Amino acid sequence: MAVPSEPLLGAAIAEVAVEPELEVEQAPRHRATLWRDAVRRLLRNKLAVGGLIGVGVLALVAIFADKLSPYDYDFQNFVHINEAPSWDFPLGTDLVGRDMLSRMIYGARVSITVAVLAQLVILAIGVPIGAVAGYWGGWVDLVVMRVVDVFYAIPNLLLAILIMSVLGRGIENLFFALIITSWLTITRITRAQMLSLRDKEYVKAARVAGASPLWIIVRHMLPNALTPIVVTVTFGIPQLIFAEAALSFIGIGVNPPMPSWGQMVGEHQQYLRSSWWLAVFPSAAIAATMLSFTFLGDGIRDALDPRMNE
Amino acid sequence: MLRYVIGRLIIMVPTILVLSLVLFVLMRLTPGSPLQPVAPNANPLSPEAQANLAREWGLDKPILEQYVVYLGRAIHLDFGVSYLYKTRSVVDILAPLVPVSLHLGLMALALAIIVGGALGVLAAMNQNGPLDYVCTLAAMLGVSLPNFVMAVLLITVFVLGLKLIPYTGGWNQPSDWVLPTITLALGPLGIIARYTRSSMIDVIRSDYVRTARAKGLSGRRVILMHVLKNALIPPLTILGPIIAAVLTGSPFVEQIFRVPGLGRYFFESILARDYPVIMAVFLFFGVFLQLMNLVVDLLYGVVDPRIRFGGSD
Repeated sequence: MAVPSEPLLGAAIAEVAVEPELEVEQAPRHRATLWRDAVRRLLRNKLAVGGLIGVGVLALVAIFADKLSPYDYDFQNFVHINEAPSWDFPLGTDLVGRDMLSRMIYGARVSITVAVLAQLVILAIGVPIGAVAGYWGGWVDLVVMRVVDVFYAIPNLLLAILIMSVLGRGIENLFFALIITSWLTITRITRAQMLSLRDKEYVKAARVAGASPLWIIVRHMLPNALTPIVVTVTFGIPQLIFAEAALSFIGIGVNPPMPSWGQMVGEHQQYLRSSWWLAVFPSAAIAATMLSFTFLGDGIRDALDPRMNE
Repeated sequence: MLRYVIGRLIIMVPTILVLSLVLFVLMRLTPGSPLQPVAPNANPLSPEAQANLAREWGLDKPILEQYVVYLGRAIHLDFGVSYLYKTRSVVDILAPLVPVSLHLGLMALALAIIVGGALGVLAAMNQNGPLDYVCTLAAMLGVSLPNFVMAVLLITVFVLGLKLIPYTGGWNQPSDWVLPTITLALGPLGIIARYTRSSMIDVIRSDYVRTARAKGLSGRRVILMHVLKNALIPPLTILGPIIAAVLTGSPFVEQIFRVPGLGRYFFESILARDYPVIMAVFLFFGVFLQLMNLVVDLLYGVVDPRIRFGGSD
């Protein structure tokens, strides 16, 4: 949706960057100011700060899951089966006597790990492909864009469902399915950026000066394409968290007994009337996570460039 | 116009072909074989029986030949026999489910367009007012919450908590329709509201609107006569993705609310690895989405006469 404004944005940032190329001493100061301004704008935005806090808490919970959780996520307490929240089990126990709180805490670790690792791989795949396609154009670009077109014929999540139904559930397959279905956006964005930066004067100047294509892409073009890439990543992570939750909800995500919020909702939604805590807590956790990331993502987008706001 | 439509339909063919080929090869390469029994620990069929079944289903032929045979039959809407219910054909199973899903999807789409559009218009007219914040909040909730999460929260509040809606599930009476429709509509509704709002604001700031105001027209008249007509065109472009979102979302909503539609059965067939059904549903989704995108593009041209078809490409 933000696509039409990208060339404009690229141009605006490119202008900022032309000068530092000429006056070497000033370059660090300029860049620091761009990002420092962004951070200042971000921290002024209350919703974004709220999102940042939410994401921070989630990250801490995920990192210290083993210290925080009172029980093991797969420890079955056969005396306490399907119990409502109590002092001993603040969020109740599930149908086989496992502590819901511990499972929720480990669920945070699963969600975050899957999303962040998958996003890193997607960056490592999508940015180079997009950069090469956008910089050289020609048949490379043609092939990449045709592949992207075919992928776009089916919605991401349906494609991920298909892959998981073929491969079977499990965390490795989940990574594979998420990466295969999510590398398109970042590739397209990077390509569009490269396309608009390719004919800028400073890129031509670098080319005339004899810089290698790799150097031009990495040193001159990518820094100027960074804003939309950062924004895509901040929205990409919640998308991946959502996809993991959705696949696990269906029962084709992570392998039990590994806890996943989505799987907890899917498995327990049918007991909503008799044991509400089984599905409501994981649902609330997913909701809080998604909202935190959305607030933070919106904030980062607005902070990096106010005009990018549709 | 007609040439444009035919051109677009022809372009659809390779996409669908690639999709079906990928699907077909994926399905055939998977470890689980339909010749194995469905029950987890049952004894395998005798080799002779397996060979007979393979011949009956055409599984003994080379994969490319299988694909061509499949395509030939699929054109006549013959998608074979379900591996799960071995006596029923895929079409017999799916045909009664489609109208239910279509009903749910259309109601959700209508709700999303009407309420989302209205919310966006009102928000733009009260920029930074309370209504604008309601719109922003609704849009954020709608966009960021997965619909199965929304479903659980809505059931907890309205069915279990406030007891406004009876605890039934299914698709029998209108009270069963309320929550699934709302759940499915909220995401698209949020997107439409957000998009309409920004498009309205763009138009409100344009010169010709300022001229209309300068002429002395009342605020309401300017909005109704001049702004709406142009501001409602850009949101039309997102109808394609919106329809895709409704389509993707409906299996989750149907699953939670026990709506006997295509989506719910789709999940069942995925867990059972009932490949003929999965394949047919995916082909249906693919063709349906492509057709809808074409319809949306045509609609865009009908509403905005400045857009011409088939000129440049």
